[in-house]
Parts: sequence; structure tokens; C-alpha cells
Amino acid sequence: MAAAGLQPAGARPAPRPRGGPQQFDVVAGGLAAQGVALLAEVLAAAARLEGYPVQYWLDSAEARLGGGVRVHLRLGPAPSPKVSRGAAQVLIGLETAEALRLAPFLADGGLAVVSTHAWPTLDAKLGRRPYPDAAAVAAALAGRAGRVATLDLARIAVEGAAPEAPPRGGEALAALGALTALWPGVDRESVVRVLRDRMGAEADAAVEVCLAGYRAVAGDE
Amino acid sequence: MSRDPVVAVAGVNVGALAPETEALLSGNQAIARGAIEAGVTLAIGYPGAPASEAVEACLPAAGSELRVEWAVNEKVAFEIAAGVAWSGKRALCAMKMSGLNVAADSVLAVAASGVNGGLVLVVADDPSAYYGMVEQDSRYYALMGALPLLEPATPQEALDFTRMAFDVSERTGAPILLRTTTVLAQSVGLVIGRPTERTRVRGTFAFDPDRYTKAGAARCLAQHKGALARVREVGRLLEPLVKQEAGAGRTGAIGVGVAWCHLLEARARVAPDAPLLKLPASYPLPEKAVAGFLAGLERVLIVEELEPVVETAVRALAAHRPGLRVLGKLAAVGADAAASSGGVAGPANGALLSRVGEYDVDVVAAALASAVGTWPTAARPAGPVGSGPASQGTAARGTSAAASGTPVAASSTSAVGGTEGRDAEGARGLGQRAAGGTAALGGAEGAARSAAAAGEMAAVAAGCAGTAGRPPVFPAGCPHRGTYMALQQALSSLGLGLRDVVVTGDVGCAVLGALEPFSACATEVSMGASIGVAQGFAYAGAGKAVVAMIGDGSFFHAGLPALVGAVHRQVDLTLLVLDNGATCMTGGQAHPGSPVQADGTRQIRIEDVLRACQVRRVTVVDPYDLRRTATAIMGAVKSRGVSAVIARRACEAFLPEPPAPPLQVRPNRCVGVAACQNSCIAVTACPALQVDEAGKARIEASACVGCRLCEAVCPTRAIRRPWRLGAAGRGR
Repeated sequence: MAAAGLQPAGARPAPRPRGGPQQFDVVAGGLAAQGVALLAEVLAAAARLEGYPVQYWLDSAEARLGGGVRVHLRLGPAPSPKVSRGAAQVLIGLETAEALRLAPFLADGGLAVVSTHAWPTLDAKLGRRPYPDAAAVAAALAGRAGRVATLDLARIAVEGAAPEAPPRGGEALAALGALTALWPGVDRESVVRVLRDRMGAEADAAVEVCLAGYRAVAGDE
Repeated sequence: MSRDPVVAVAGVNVGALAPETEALLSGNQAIARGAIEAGVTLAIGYPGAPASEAVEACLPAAGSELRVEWAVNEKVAFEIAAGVAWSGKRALCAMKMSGLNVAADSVLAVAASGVNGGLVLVVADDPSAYYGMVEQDSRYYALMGALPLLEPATPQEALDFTRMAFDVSERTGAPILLRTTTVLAQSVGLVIGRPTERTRVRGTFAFDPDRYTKAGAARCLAQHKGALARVREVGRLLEPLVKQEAGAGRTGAIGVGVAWCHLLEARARVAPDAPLLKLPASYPLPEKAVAGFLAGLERVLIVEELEPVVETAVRALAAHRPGLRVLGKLAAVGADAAASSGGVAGPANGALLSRVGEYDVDVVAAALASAVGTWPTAARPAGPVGSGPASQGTAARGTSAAASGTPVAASSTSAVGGTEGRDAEGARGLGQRAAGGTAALGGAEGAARSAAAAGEMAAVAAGCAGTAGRPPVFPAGCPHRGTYMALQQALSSLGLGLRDVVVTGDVGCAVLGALEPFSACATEVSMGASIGVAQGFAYAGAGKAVVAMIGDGSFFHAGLPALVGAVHRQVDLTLLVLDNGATCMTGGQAHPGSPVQADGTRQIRIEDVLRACQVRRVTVVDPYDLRRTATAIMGAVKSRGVSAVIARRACEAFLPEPPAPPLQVRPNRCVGVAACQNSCIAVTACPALQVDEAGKARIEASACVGCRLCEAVCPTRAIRRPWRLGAAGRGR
């Protein structure tokens, strides 16, 4: 089982957002091919199943240039497609520095799910600049976040899909599973249902990876 | 299965959506759905984010009643659409803002003539320049060409406005410009469609040179007059689309496009009493509705991204209302300027919003709070990083007071604008962005959070300085990497340094050769411009040699005329065509040089075109073969006249077959990245190459596609294919 780090463990999850004109915002980021767009599509569809008004904005402008991909996901009636700074109850970072880029959007007491995977830039690889590892990101977020979960999402994706190859966007699927264990905003069953409906031939593998992400946080049921 | 790095579930077939059933669609998909509902018979364009998907989303619906295709460039796309619309059928044409510049000559001419069938031209502007082009406001084309606009704010409006645009176009005879921006085009929201119209119209065209030619001034003047009359008629039809949010306040705001959504949310946060007016378009301005809205106001804030198009028009309307202050991004004059130093917390010149960068709720809330006079002067945010006038000053370099936790004084000259920034400043920007954002909460809460957030994020910045910026890089296996490596080798073999020659770049993936470690391309102007610019450098004698880099898409798009001119003038230049078989930067769309497509195209080979244009030396090479590619480039550089090298290999991201097995590093042979004189990482900048804990090169198996360029440059022969190490696998 892949390791999951939770800091601080004592923080309680927010109450389940049901009823009323509440607004729940999620920001997620990663690199090309890690599945940020997939994460947004699945999470939005799952949230819609549960009755939320949903919208999201995807910035994938640099996806084909090795750049970061980000999404602002809004569950609730707010009209703008973009999340305000300090407003996101959830931050999902599929890569360390990309998680850090989203840090200004995290609300006080929010939840951060951060991959331990770092994909350093050329400057960092050549020793010209430092590059944050998961511990540095967790430490940076800890002052604001109520809870920071650091997970080896790449490993969870590989192990969750074994013996088959992980599906496209495996790290995002693992993050979705972990999110359903940590945040009561969206049900795991809704996420699984969306994956089964939409992932075609990859549905079984996608569900397995998602559930592996869930178990990495919640343990075996 | 494509290995396109934009991983998403299977695309929605917008044509197959059941009417009256909700779906999650992007703004672009909603436009496609609206066009299909309207019975469009042609959807055409040229690939260019953020507009491509408006055409692409029509593809699944293509058939006998709907033709969907990519044209060779935007001008041609629009001309084809115009021919369809002049024949009485409905046509949709989509392009990004820079494409509209290419098409503009024809767009303005057709706007003057008017149309018969509905013609909707979708153009996507890109505030904040997400896609790395000129940050322009295409609405000025509407004013220039008497071309009525529609500006949806949400995906649902994108659908509704598109459908309606076809009706308005046919009723008035005016082509309609449907303008979106990146955020709307790529925002996904709940959309409900309606049944599809069946408009089986047989194409007919009546000979009428008065209308369809510009032969003679009298015809041109009559057409101009007619176009202006159509604009007035469209304005009358659009008046009912104006929406108002009532409020008792004496300060109101007007929004258009996606900025309206930010304004609506900002109002709830900082000015719940402010009356709001939503415009369906900037041109023609619904003057009656606007004048009525202004009647009871003392101040009005205009919220629109990029240029002050609406603001200028509203100021003209308000000229007879000396007591009314129009606020936005234009500097106040006269009495306004004097008043602004006392009444409204903000810059002394009265500008509350920036013409640079896109907006969000935080930005608009700050401006609205200033407009209504509730902005706490101590908490006014600094200009955001990477956008707005402030970004050119010290604030952008991380030395602003906000970044250090000190509130910015009200005397700052920064206008609020832009959002999270697309700066390469690294994590230093985070502190400023956080400060600006939380300060936008307004009131004491905003001030307190501003200081806290600035301090907190400054700590983040201190710990991780320089990490947030991620320069673009050729993906693993990109054939262009080999071309640029070969160019370096060729020049070196000729005794030339990179700065001894002038290498002109072009739009698309190819221009990444401007960045480290290649640092080759000195310029990027527009599609196809590398050849003409190179000709100018050759005329000026700016280098010992001149090399023009051009992608295959750009070659067909607008490179051909320049090529013909250079050959005609016998210019000494080397043309390097980076041919990856498709328009890969925008998603792998086909162009005339692409392999034959399923809908019955004919492949036009670039080498045949070059030879037909009398380019004497044409060589085709595989850019994964560094030695042969370098040799070909050397030969071309030494030749007189125009010489061409076509570096041809398909883009890995769009190949259906799996990649070659990943390569491996023999740790005992690798001397370490820092110690190596010619390290694979420094030479190739391949993202699949990483550094292990011992400081040696490591290949990320999940990213490597086995191109072997790193193997070719490793001085210690530490990189090998798996079979050389005894593992199973195949070479390529």
C-alpha cells in the first residue's frame, strides 16, 4: 500500500455540504497527461449527480508544451467560473510545484491533497534553482490548510491498476479516490458511477485506481 | 489511442444531445451545439486555441447536411463561409483573435456587402495571453467594419446567442461577430439545448455586382451605408437581451461578456445595493437601455476585459450628464479627475481597472468597492503580477509593499487588473497575488486577511523561490528537439556560433527553439512570417547566414507567398520546415500536407511544393537522425539562394501506436549531470530525463518514448535501449 501522510491528523472534515445556497470551490493542478481535465470532468459530473450546480474552468493552454494544467471547479450557485483567492475548500496538486502555484486559492482551514511526485524544471535539474518536494509544499500549506494529505499518487495508480497498466490520468483518478475519503463534498459512489459511465474500456481500471486512492487514506474497509 | 497530453474522457457529441436535457458543455462546445441547432450547413475555421473546439465539436455531427473542415488559413476559411452564406445557407466560421487579423480584409469586405444566409464568425480573444500571442481586443473590428457583435457570458448564453445570431444575421443581412474569451471558451457549465432546426435551403446566388463587388466608389459608399443601417437594425433586435439587476445604490456597474459573471459575484461581496446592467454586446451599444440605466446614477463602473470599448461609448452617452462619473480603465479628465482624488479611493488618474490581463472576482470586487467608496484605503491591493500597468514596475518584481506585508498606499498608481498572473517570476509572485486577492474582500476583514496572507505567502515564496515558473519545453519525443540539436551541430561544424547567424522562428511548436537549451529562434511574428523576416535580415546583412524555421502548418497557412517572394528575389536563406504531419500545437488537426483524411482529402507534399516554387535544393530528413539532419542543414547553409531542409517525423502525441520502449541509463557509466561536459539533460532538455539521488541521469519510463536523441549525445555511452541491457523490447 502506498504511503499517505496526513497533517495534522486531528483536523475534522467540514460538514457535508447539503442543501441551501452554499458554495464549494475546488482548485486542482498538475502537469500535462496527469489527468487534471479528467479529474474536473469526473468530479463535476459526480457533483451534478448529487444536485450541485456545477461549472469549471480549465486552463490547459500549456499542456502540450510541458506546462502546468489547472482547473477551478465550482459547486454551487456562484456565477463566476473562476475561484477567488482564499476561497477554495479543496486544493489538489498532482505535482509539487503545481500545488504550490495554487496555494493562494486555498481557504483557511481547507483541505490539500498533494502528490509526492515532483517534476523539476530544467533549471532545477541543472542545479540553478531549488525545487519544492512534497514536504516543502506541505509545510508551506500547513499554515493555511486545515489538513494536508501527501500521497504517492503515481505509485497508487500503478499498484491500483496492477496487473494491468494504469489508465490515462491515473494520478488524477487516485487523487479523486483519496478526496472522497477526506472530503464529504462528493460521494465515492457518485465518482465511481461516473467513471463506469464514461471511461469506456478503461472503466474497470479507472475504478480500481480510484478505490486504491480511497484506501490509501481510509484504509481497507 | 492518442497520447495527447490533454487527457479527458471521450468528447461529447453535441449534435446528439437530447433537447431540453442538461449537459456539461464548454463555451466552445455550446457554440457548436447552438450552430447545429440553428441548422448550420458549414462549420469551418483554422485551428487556433482558444477557438478551435467550436469547429472541432461539430465534427461528430458532420454528414450530408453539415460539412465540417479546417481551411488552409483563417482568411480562406471565412471566404468559404461567405460563399456559403451568399448562397443562402448558414455557415459558422471560427478562429482565434490573431486569425481574425489574417481574415480581416475579407471580413470587412463581406460585412460591407452583407449576407443572405446566416453567417456567424466566432472569434476568441485571449486576455492574459494564455496562448502566447498578442493580447488584442477584437471588438474593434466590429466598430471598424460595421459588424454587429454578440458577447456571451456563460456556456448557456454561448449556445443561445449562437443560435440567435443566425436568425439575426438572416433577418438583417449582417454577418454577426460572436466574440468569446479564453475563460468562456474553456469554461464548462450546465447547458440545456433545444431541438435542431431543419433548414433545407438550396444554394442559390443572384448576380449583383452592386452588392458583391467593390468596383467603383459609388458601390463602396452604398455598401458602407447599408452596413451601418444593418448595425442599427441589429441593435434594435438586441435591446431585449439587456438584463438589469436592480439596486438602490447611486453607483452602478455595467458588464459585458464573462466579466459580467465576475461583476455579479463581486457585487454580492462588496456592493449589494449597486444596480447592474448586463449588455449582450459592446457594439452596437443598446443606447436606449444604457441611457435609462444611467438616469438615476451618480457613478457607473464599466467592467469589460481588455480595451475600453463600452466605456468609451458610455462616456459619449454621458456627455450630457456632467454630474455622472464614468469609471473604468480610462483616465478621468477635468472635473472627474478632481473629484476622484477625494471621493473614490484609487489611483489619482481615476482608472480603476487595467487594459492588460483578464479579470476575476477579486479584481472586479476591488474596482467595484472603490467605485462605491467602500474600499479601505489601507487595504487596496497592488497591481497584480504579470498584468496591468503595475506589473511593469516594482510590484511585478516582488518588491511591492504588499508582498512584504505592508499595505499599499492609496496614492499607488496601480490600476487593478489581471488575475493570478501568468508570470515567470516564480513563487515570489504568490505573495502579491494572495495579498491582492484577500484584500479584495473589502472592509476590515479584507484588510486583516491581506496582511496575513501577504506574510504567509511571502514565507512560501522564501522557501520555494523560483519554482512556480515552468517554461515551455518540447515534450519527450518531439521531433523538433532533434532538428534544433542538429542545427546547433551543423552551425558548429561550419565554425559558426548561434549568434553568428540569424534564426527566425514562427508561430507554433517550432518557436520553442527560442528557449534553452537551443536558444536559436530570435523572432516570432505571425503565422508564416519567419521567411519574410529572414529575407529582411538577409537584405540587411544581419548575420553570416539566415535560417528561417517554419512548421508545416504555418508553411501552408501563410508561408507560401513569402517563399515565392524569397525565391523570386534569389535570397540566400535556409528554410527549415519542421514537418510533424499536423497542426500539433492546437490538437493535431490536419492540414494540406497531412496524410489523406477519412473525409477524402488529397495530400500535398511540402517537397513537391518547394520544388514547384523553384527551390533548387530540397532535402527530406528524419530529425531523430541527428547526423544526417545536421549534414543536410550544413549543405543548405552553404548553398546560394533558397535552400530547404524538411525535417519530417510525426508528432508522438498523436500517433496511434504505442511508443518505443523507454531507454535506460547505466549508472556506472553516467558521470553525473553536474560533472558531465555535455550532459543529456543540458543538451536535450527532455522532460523524461531526470536526476536521481546520486546526481546521475535517470529516465522516467512513463514519459520516455525511445527517441534516442539523448543516447546520441551522451559522451560516456551511458544511455542504451533496453535490449542492449538484456531486457525485452523493440527498437524503433
